[in-house]
Amino acid sequence: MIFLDSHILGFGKLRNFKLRFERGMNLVFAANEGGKSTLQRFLVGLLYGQLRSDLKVQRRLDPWVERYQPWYGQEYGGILRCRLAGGRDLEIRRSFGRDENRIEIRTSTGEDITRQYEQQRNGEVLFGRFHFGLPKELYESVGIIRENRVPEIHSRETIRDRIANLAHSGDEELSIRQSVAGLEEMLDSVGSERAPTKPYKQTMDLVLQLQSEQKALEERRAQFRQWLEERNRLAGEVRLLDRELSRTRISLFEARRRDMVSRIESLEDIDKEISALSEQIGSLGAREEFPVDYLDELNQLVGARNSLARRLEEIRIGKEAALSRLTRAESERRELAGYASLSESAESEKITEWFVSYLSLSLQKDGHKKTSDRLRSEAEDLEKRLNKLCPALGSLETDWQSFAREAVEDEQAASRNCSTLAEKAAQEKSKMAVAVRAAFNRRFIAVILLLATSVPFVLRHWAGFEGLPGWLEYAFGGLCLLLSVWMWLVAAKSAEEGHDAQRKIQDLELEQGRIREDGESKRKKLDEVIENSGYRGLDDFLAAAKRSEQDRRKLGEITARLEETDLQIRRHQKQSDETYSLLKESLEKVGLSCSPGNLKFQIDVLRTNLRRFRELDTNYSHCMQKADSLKTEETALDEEYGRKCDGIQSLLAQAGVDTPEEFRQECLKRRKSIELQEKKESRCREFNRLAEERTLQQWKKALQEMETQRGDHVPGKDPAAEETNIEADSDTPYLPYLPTISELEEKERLTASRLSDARQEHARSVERVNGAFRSYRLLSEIDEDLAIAEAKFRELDRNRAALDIALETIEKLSRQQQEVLAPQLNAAVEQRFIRLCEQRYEEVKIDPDFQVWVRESETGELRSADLLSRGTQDQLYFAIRFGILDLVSNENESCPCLLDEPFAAYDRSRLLEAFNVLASESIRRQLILFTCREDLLDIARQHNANIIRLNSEE
Amino acid sequence: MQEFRFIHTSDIHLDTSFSGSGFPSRLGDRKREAIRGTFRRIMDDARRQDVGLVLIAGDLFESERVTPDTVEFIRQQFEGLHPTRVFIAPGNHDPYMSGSPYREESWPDNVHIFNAEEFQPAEIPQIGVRVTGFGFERPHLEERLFQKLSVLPNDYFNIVLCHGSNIGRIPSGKSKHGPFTIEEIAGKNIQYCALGHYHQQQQLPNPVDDTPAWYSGIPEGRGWDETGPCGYLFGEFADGNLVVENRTCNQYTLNSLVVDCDSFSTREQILDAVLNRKEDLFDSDTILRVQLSGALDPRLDLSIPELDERLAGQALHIQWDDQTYAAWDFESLAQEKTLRGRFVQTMNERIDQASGEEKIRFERARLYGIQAISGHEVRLR
Repeated sequence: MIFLDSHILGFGKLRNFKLRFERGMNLVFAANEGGKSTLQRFLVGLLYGQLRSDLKVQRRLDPWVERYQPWYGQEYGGILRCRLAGGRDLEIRRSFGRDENRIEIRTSTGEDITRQYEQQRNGEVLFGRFHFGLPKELYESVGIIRENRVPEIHSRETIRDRIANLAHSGDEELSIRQSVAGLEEMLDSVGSERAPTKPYKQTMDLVLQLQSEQKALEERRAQFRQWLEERNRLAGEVRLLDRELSRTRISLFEARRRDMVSRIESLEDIDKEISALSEQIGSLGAREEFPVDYLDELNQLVGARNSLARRLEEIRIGKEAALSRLTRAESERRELAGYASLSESAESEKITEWFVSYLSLSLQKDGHKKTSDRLRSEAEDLEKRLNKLCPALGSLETDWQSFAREAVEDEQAASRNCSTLAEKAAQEKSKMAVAVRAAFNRRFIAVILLLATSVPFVLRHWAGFEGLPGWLEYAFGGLCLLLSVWMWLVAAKSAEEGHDAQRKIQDLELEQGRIREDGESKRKKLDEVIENSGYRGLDDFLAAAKRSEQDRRKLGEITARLEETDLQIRRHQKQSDETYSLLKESLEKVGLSCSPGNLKFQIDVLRTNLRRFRELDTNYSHCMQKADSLKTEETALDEEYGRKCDGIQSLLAQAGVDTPEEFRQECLKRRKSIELQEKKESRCREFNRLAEERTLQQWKKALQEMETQRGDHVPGKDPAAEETNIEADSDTPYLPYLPTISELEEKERLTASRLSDARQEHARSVERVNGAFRSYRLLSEIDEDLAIAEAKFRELDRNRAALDIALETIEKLSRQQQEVLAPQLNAAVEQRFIRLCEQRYEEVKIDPDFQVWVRESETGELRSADLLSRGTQDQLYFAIRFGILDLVSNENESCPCLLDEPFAAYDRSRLLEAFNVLASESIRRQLILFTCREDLLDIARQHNANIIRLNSEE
Repeated sequence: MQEFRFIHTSDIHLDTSFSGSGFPSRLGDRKREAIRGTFRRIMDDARRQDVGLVLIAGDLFESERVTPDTVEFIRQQFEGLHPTRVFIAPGNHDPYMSGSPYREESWPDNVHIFNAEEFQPAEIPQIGVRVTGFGFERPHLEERLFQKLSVLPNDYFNIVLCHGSNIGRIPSGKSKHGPFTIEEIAGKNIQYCALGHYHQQQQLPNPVDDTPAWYSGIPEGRGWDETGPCGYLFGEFADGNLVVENRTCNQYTLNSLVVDCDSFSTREQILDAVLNRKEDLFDSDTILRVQLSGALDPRLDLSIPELDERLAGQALHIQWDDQTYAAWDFESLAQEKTLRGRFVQTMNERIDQASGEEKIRFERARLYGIQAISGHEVRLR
C-alpha cells in the first residue's frame, strides 16, 4: 500500500491541509513544533481509528484524541487516499472525537465498502489490521521508526536484547526476558511449599492449623456428648440417693421407736426378776463362813487316795505274775546251757563264714573240673585235624606263606632285570645296525671313488675330451684313490664296531637266561610241593597252610589252660578239706556230729539252737527287771496313800463335818446362794445398762415424746413421704426381719456418704460440661476462618499454577520463535545489508539467540556486529528494522513506513550511508521521513525523494 | 374462645456459621451476637406484649455447633418468659435426638418440646388453645406427616406448629424436609398453621379454604438470599378474628449490589457507583456485598484493599465479589505474528479444550502472560 494524498480537515494545529505522497521516498520537512508528529498521528489515526485497540467492547478513546482536537474548531478528521498493491485505490474518511466515530471507506468509483471490513463490538473498523496484518500497537512500534537507538547501545547484550524484543514483540522496549522475570518475581512473591515467609506456605499452614483446630473441636464435641450423658446419669444417681437417704432416715426413726418400746419392756421384766432372786437367796440358809474353797482340794485328796488304793492292788497282782514268768524262763534257758559259750563268743559268726567258704570252694572246684573236661575234648579234636594234614604242612620248618611271597618277589625281580638287559640288547642291536649300514655305504663310496680315478682317462681315450691338463687328470685320479682308500678304512672300522655290538648282545641274552632261571627256582619248588600235597592250586594250598598254623597255635593255648585248671583244682581241694575240719570241731563242741553229706543240716540245727538260746536269755533278763521294778513301785505307793488319808482328815476337821459327803452338801448350799446372788447382780447390771443412767419413768416419758414426733412421719399423712414409701416398697427387697438401728445407722451413713460423693462428682461433671469449650473457639468461627483460608489458598494455588503455565508457555514459545525467527530474520536482513555495504560483507548470521555476526568479503572473517563501525551498525540496524517489518506484516501488502527524525545524531557521512539504506528500502515500500533538518533536503533530493513542506497555516 | 396473643418465629439458627457467606470470623462473631440479641428482643417483645404463647417452628439453634453457653442463654430466656408457654417444634438443624440439648438439658415448666415425628396435641385450657405439632428426631425427614393428621376437634383454637417444606414452591437451594402441600393442611380445622424452614416470611396461598399458614421467616438474615429487613410474626386473636402481622427485629441487614464495570476506567468510578446506592441500600448496620461484573479495563487497578479503605465506616462490612473479566481482545491478539500473538493463540486453544478448574487456570495464565508480555504490571486476581 502507498499513500497517494491526504486532506486534513482539522487535526491539532493542521487544518484544511492537503498533501500528496509519492511512491518511494517522501520527506516531510517542518521546523520543530511544525506539525510533523501531528501528521504522523493523523495518518495512523486514519488507518487504525481513535479507539483503544486493547478493548474490543468498550468505546474507550486513545489518549491522543483529546490532545489533537482541532485548534480552530474545524471538523475533527480528514481523508486519506491510498493505493493497494493490487492497484486498487481507496479513500478513507474518518471523524474523530468523543461523540464521533464516523468512518467511510470508498473505492475510486465512490462505492462505500466500509461494511466489508471486520468491525469490533465497539464499532471500530479494522482497516489497518486487515491490510497490514498488524494491530495498531504493533504498527506503531514496527511501522514507525523513530530516532535511531543504535548510538545508545553500549553493550552486546543490549543489541541482542533489542533485536530479540523486536523479533518477539515488534517493540524494542518490550522484553520477553523482562516479562519472564516479572512473572518469576510474581511467582516468587506467591511462594511455594518450601518458602515459609511467603503467602502460599503461610496460607497452607494456616489451613492445616485450622483443620487441626476443627478436628480437635469435633473430638471435644464428641467427648462433650459423653460428658453430658455422664452428667445426666450422675444427676439421676443423686436423685435416687437422695430418696434412698430419706427412706433410710424414716426407717431409722421407726427402728429407734421400736427399740425404745422394747427397752422399756425389758427394764420392767428385769426389775421383776431381781425381786424374785432376792427371795430365793433368803430361803436357802447357807453358811456364809463355810470353807467352800477347800471343796476342790478335798475332792482331789479323796480322788487321789482312791486312785492310789486301786493302783496298789494292780501292782501287787503284776508282781506275782512277773515272778512266775521268771521261774519258767530260767528252766527253759537251762536246757540249752551248752550254747552259752558260743553265744557270748564270736565263734558262731566264724562257723557261718567257714561254712560259706566251704560251699564256695566246692562250687569252684566243680567248675574247674568241668572246664578241664571241655579243654581236653577240644585238644583232642585239634590233634586229630592236624594229623590228617600232608607231610609238607605237617612240619613246622617252612612258613609257606612267606615262601610263596618270596617266590613271587624273586620272579618279579628277575623280570625287572631281564627287561633292563633286553633294553641294553636292543640298544646294542641298534648300534650294530648303524655300524653295518655305515660300513656298507662307505665301501660303496670307496668303490665309486675308485671308479672316479679312471674317469679322465676314459674321457680322453674314449670320448676324445682333452680340456684338462695331464697333471690335473693325475692329481684328480690320485685324490680319488686316496679318498677311496681312506673311505675303505673307515668302513672297516664301522664293521668292527658292528661285530662288537653283536658280541655284547649275545652276552646279554645269556645273562638274561640265567637271571630268569634263578627267579623261577622257588616257584618251581612251591609248585612241586603243591602238586605232591594234592591241592588244586596255590590259593588252596596257602589257605590250608594258614588253617594248620591257626590250629597249631590254638592247641598250644588249650594245653596251657588245661595245666593251669588242674593246678587250681588241687589248690581248692586242699582249702576245702581244711575248712571242713574246722566246722567239724565246732559242731562237736555243742554235741553235734557231722559228715560231708549232712554238714548243711547240722549247721542249720546249730544256728536254730543258738537263736533259741539267745531269746530265752533275753526273756529271762526282762522278767528279772520287771519283778524288781514292781517291788520298788509298791513301796512308794504305800507311803503316798498314807499321806492322802492324813490330809482328808485334816480338812474335815477344819469344816466341822465328819465325812466328805457332808462337806459337799454344805458346799452345794453355799454355791447355790452365790449363784443366785450373781444372777441378781447381773440383772442389776443389765438394768443399768439398758436404763443408761435414766430411770424407768424417764424412759416412759421419752417414749411418749417420740410418739408425739412420730405423728409427723406416719405414712399417709405426708404425701411426699408416702411417695417415698411407695417407691421404697417398690425398690427395697422384702426382708424377713426388721433391720436393726445399727444396720440402719450404717446404711444412713453409707447412703449419706454415697450421696455426698455423687453430689461432688455431679458438681465436677457440671463444671466439666460448663467448661468443655472454654479453651476452644466456636466451631462456626473456625469454619469461617477455614473457609476464607481455603478460598485464599485455592486462589494462590490457582495463581501459582497460572503463573507457572504462563511462564512455561512463554519460555517455550520464545525458544520456538527464536529458532524459527532467527533464520527468517537472517534471510530478510542479509540481502539488504550486503547491498547496503556494497559487498564489503558477504554474509550475515543471526543465531537463534539473536546474536548478529557478519563475514568480511576480503578476509572471510566472521565479525560480531558490536565490533563494526557506527555507520555499519546503523546500516545493520535499519536492515533489521525493515527485516522485522517484513516478517510481522502482511507479505502481500507492504505497509508504508514512517520514519520520525531517525537521524538526529548523524553526521553527514553517516547520513549519506543511511539514505542509501532508505533509498534501497523505498523500492520495496513507501517511506515517509519526517525531519526538521534542512541538510537532509539536499540528500533527499539526490535520492529523488518527494519533499513535502509542512505549513500549518496553509 | 378467649382472646390471646402469640408470637411465631423460626429459623433463628443460634450459633450458626457464616462460612458459606464468606464472612470472616470477626464479622461472624458480631453476627452471631446479633442473632442472640434478636432472639432476646423477640422474647422481650413477648413479655412486653403479654402474649399467651410463643411458637418456635424449628431450627432454634444448630445442634452441631450450639455451645453450653447458648443453651443456658436460651433456657434463661424461656425461664424469664414464665408463665407464657413456649412451644418448640424441632427442625432439621436442631432435631430431638441423642445429644441434643432438647433431650440432654432440663427446660423450664413453661416450655413444651414436640419430641416425636407424629402430631401430638398440647392444650392450654386457660386460654382455650390447642397446639398440635411434631418435631424432627433426625436431620432428614421425608415422611408427609400432614397426611396423617386427622381433623382436629373444634373445642379449642387449633394451632399447628412444625418445621417443613411446602413442596408446592421450594426456594432455590433449599433442602426438602417434612414435606407437605397446602391441600394437606386445608380442611383439618386448623385456625393457624405456624411453619418454619423457609427463610422468607410468607403466607402460603391457600386455594382450598381459609386456613392461614405462615412461614415466619428468619428473624436475622444469614445468607445473601436473605437480604433486607427480617422479623417474626405477631398474631392476635380477638373478637373471633385472627390478625397476623410482621414485626421487624433484625439488627444487621444483609444487602447485595451489582456494579457493572464495563464503562469504568478508574477505581473512583467504582466507588462512586457504590456510594450512589448508599441511601437505599446500606448504612452502618449493613453487611453489603458488592458484585463487580463486566469487562474490566486492563489499565484499571482493582485494588480491593484500597476500595475497602475508601469505603471504611460506610457499612458494617463490605464484601467484594470480583466477577469481572479482563477486557483484552484476545481474538485480535491471537492474530499477531509476534510472540504475544502466539502465546494468546496457544492459550486460547488450551482454554477451548479445558473445563472447570483447568480452564480457570488457563484463563488466568493467559491474563498474567499477556500482562507480562505487554509490559503491564502483573496483577493477580
